[in-house]
Amino acid sequence: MTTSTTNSDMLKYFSALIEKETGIQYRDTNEHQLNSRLRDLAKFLNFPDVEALWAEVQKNGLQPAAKSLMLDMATNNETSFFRDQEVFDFFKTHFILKTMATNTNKIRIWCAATSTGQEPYSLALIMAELSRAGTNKYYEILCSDISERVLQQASKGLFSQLEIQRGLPAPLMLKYFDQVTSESSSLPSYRAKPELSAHMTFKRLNLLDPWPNIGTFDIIFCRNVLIYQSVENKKQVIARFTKMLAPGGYLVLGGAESLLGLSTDYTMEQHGRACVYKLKGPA
Amino acid sequence: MKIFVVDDSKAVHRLLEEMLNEFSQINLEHSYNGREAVDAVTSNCFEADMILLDWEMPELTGIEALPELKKCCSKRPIIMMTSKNSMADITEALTKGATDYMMKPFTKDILLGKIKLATGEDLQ
Repeated sequence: MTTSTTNSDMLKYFSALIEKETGIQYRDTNEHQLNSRLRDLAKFLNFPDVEALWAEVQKNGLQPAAKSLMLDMATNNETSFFRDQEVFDFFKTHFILKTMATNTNKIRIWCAATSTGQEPYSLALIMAELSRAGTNKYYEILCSDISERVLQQASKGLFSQLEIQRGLPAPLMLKYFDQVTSESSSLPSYRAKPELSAHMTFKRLNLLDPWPNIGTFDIIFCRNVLIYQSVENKKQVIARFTKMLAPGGYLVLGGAESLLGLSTDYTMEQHGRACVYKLKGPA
Repeated sequence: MKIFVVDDSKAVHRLLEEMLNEFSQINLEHSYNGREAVDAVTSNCFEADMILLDWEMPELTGIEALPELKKCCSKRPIIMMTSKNSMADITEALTKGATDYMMKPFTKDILLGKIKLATGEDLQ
């Protein structure tokens, strides 16, 4: 068997497995990304190269721990604080200060792809700053993700020195994080203060599986997740989001994502450079 | 956009040049100690849009130079760039006028993020 045949069979096997388990599609356009992740997986599992990993999989199948790691690596966990600042400007200026201005109930926020937590902690930072400035809102953030590993990290509210510096201005870091000794690095880590973390709950959730009863939300963030899904999966997930949004609630997708052809239940709104979707009211 | 780099380590100047090399809109100005930096800033021809300032340097340290730099160019963001990483150090730098703080070692994406926060220039 030639190396290129091996590579082609291997990519076919792993891309089919990833799509079945997570709905994420690896195609020609992101084949190099899958190759790179398989190299990382092989290294992590102590195989000399991907060919050795593939030979083991063909012989004994993919072991549960390796499968879990593979799915973990297949989901893109690249993130930073206040990633796409315009979205957070919309959240603060329009959503909290205008739409929710007279709301006295608990504001329910869902981060459907929490990753290591930078998105929900950025939202909590905005809420904390507003609170210190006198706008005190009662709120909670449900943080979910398909990956148990990243969710565990997020639930600890712990960030490495490199992570804490991505997108977070030092004055905010000083106010809302404590420095702690890191177990895995000579550099310190930074732990979110209860002022941020007390508002969060964490739940492992695959968007394609049945969801537990998690209530309704005023705003759902699902950025840069559906972009990797098939059209059918996108439609299905968005229809379920629609049922879980309060009337007039907002759905926030990634900058390169759109509801065009997927749902007519929303009105697109432009707030500065942020494009968001507002659930239409009853006819 | 001009960035004024003040650091006694030539390696740091080289690293920043490498990280920012692909952005033709960015020009780096170089200085190697705090005294030189204060002299440059107080001269009439200083035009940098932001300052990256090391802490420990000969002649005049970054933290000593900071109030003078801030006095001369109060509207230009100054980012401390140092391996000193205690919360007390960060507090001291921000109190003395630093706009932001970047702990060494840093990556290119952290640097670009700090430039964006300081100047609004989105290079990512």
